[in-house]
Amino acid sequence: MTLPKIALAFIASQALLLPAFIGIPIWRSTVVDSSIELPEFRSEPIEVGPLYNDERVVTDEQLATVLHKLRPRLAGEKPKINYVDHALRFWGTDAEFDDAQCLSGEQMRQILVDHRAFKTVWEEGKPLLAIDAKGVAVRVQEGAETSSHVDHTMATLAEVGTPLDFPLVTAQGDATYRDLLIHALRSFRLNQREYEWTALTLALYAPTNKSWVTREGQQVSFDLLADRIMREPLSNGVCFGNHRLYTLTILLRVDEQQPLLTPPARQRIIDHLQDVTSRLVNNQSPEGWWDSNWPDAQPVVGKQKLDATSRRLLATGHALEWWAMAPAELHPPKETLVRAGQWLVVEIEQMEDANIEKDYTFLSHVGRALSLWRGQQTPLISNR
Amino acid sequence: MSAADTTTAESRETTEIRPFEPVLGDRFVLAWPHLVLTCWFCGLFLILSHLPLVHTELWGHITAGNEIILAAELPQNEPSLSLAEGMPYASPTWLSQITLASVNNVGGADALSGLLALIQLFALLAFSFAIYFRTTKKRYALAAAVGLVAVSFAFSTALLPRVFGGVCLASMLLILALLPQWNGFASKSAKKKGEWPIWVWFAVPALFAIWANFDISFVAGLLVLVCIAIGRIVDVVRKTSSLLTVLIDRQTRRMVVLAELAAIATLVNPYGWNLWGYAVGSGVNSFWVLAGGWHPLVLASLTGLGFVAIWLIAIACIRFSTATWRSEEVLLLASFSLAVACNEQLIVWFAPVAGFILFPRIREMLESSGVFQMEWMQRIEASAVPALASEGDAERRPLRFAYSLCSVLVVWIAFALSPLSNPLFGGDPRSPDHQFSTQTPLGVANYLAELQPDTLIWAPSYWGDFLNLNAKSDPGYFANSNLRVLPAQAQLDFDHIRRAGPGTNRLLGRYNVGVIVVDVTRQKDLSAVIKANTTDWRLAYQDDQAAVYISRKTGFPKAASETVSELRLGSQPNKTQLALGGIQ
Repeated sequence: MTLPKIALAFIASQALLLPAFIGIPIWRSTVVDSSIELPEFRSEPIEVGPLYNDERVVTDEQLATVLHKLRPRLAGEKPKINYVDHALRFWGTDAEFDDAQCLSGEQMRQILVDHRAFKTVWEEGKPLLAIDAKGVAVRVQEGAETSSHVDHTMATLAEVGTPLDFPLVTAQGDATYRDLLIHALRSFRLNQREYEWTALTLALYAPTNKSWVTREGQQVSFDLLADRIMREPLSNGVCFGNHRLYTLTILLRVDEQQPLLTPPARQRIIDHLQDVTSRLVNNQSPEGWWDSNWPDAQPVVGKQKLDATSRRLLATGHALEWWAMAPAELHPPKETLVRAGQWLVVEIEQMEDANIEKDYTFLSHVGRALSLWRGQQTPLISNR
Repeated sequence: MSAADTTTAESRETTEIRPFEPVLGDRFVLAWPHLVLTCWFCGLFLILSHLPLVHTELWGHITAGNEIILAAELPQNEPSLSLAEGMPYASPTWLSQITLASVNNVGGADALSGLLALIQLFALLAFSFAIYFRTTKKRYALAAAVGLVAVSFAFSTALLPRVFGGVCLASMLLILALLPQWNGFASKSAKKKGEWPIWVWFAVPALFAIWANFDISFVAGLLVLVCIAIGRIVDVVRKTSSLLTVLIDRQTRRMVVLAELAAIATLVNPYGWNLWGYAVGSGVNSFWVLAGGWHPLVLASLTGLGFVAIWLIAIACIRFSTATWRSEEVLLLASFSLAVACNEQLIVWFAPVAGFILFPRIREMLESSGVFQMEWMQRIEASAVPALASEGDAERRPLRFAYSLCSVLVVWIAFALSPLSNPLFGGDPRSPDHQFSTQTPLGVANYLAELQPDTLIWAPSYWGDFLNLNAKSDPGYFANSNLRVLPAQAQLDFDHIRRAGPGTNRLLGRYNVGVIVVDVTRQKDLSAVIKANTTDWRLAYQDDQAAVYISRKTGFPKAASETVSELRLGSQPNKTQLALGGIQ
């Protein structure tokens, strides 16, 4: 059978059109149904150091005393992992101690990143690190052998300068710190309960202000992240909301070194932190401390998890810590800082070892805050 | 007698003999079936124009339409939900949204009701004409109009983009009914020849270009054309046992090209070919989700009964109709039935398509049954023929316009009684109680319009659209009927709060919710949880429908603290304000 020309033209047109009619919808559906899109990372975290050295806040002698009292006496069996990662963040990886009860900075880091080291102190129980489809996960809030907060361990490692290719040893095999970061990002949701440490880590490794897409399909920028952090009432969140303030401060600091925020978002953060500072100035006790009611000084009512001294150490230490990293425009009058610093020093000097052990996590923030106010990223004073 | 006298006398005689001679010709003479049809359509128009507006998505579409008008571009994020920032959002019904917003801005709720009535009337008329051309009988056109309303009325009373889609679908069926192979008036030779008028090649693509911007139901239109094209190919192959004959068959080629032109025309939209991605995708903006998602048909429901009724008729046609079933008809019935089985709302697409296929067979079945040969039917048929000028005695001749005049009167009465006549006759707008469905939270809307909270408001998602209409400040509402575009965690948390699950107060804090609107009849658990938490919340407004709680923690309200410092109980909405602009 000979086909007429029009039939041939029809065949030719259909050969072109039919694949297009089938292919284009499928192709475009993969585009419009956005999938997870990870941000780029720098190979090492950006350095964000202390900006001030003020001995009115804490003198050399006072700092030496405080640091000695807060040395990480974590050697031995079953050190709480949240103590280990808080101590590592406080002392850094180079820390060495003459005290046999203390772990060195490197030993602490090995417990967190190497399953073999972890196993020597936690013989029983599940490993801290686990490889899954998303990357390397850190077990959280499953007991003393796990991390205390979502992505806290990851943020600790970031703050002590861990490069992306730093080796991790898990029970299932070798990995790198990048796998930990990727796991956190693949799990991240903007409205999750704890987000402060994920945001902090991302800021430290972000080479640009480029947005990324979360597992929920949401395009997230550092502006949106900052708005999320500022969204909740001030006292909400871990440590009476202070970690949110610290993360906002780091966002500002990183933004000074490389663009991370848009100018309006940066201004919103500054306005927010200035409001916080103003509240802290107004609500500081005559002795120099703040309590869990720092945003409004309303009476602390109901059953509290911590006693009054612990709460005050927690609230005051964290406030001094983020101020130590913050641009000067966010600072309170010097008197406020001095009173807070001196109150902390006196309290720590008077504390018994048992109480220090009990409250070590937030006391590590006190020690770090005082070190930062003397211009030390990690304590320089030897405890040998 | 002079010539002048003769002329005068003739003139007088003429005046005396035919004092009421009509100036209109026979084509304006109607019979009682026309009057019945007019009464049906006018009655339906009146009912629709007086139906209260739905309390849900309509208001979200109006907000979106206003955003588009204001920004002169399509929104990248859901315009009303601050929590959905960064989430993918598409608005393929943008032209419907602009239309709804414009009508609301011009005429308010009454104009929206009028728009619904006019659109549905137009769709029904187009469908009835399509059936009329298919069957050549008015009785089937009337039956089709009644049947379509009966089957899909539940989904036709809400003014949503799908009603615009309904007009387009009916228009497409009308165009098809005018083509020789589906037109009952076409001669056998014309059917065999199968020539299409040239305008079809412009009308169908133009229709799809408009349709694709109004509503996602253009996919149903494409499905109709594709089923017809595939059906034709199958029939040709079955008949000739040769694939090559498909290429030679002009009818097949025409149908394929028409379907392809229609598909290409749908690319004339702001999303370009991404629209096709949404059509087949599975994300939050996919057409499947927009059409209601997985919502299987329940036979023991009004929609289910309508579906069963259509299939019983189809089975009767299969059993008693002598005409050969074409593959296109089988494909259309099968594919649209499957769609309804998965999502019962799609009956608004299935019913007209089924009517288009089945009515010619119903006619054939009934006529071969001899029912129209009965004497009483013959008498009815005879009475249904309009009286011509040449028939009857001279005195009764003008009366042949009686049905025409009655029809015009019915149309006029329907218009006069509808809210649409108010601008012309100066009538008062309907009261808000009549304009809005009983579930519309008018009291809360009025209260919050006065308060203008600058904090996140938690309200039932089905109220979020309406309440948001008057919100002037961010961050607005937690959710609305577009709950699907919120991040998954926010959706879960919204639902958790709705169910008043453990930790509800903590969750409200995480989102910094400053105002909670509780549906007191449907959210008793949440109402109890919030009421019990007097440390964090205080009751600020309550009526029979809803309660409004304001957070003590957020320090809100600041500016409005003087006006809302005390609880307002059973406060009635300011109806005049609402009617005149509060809700516009």
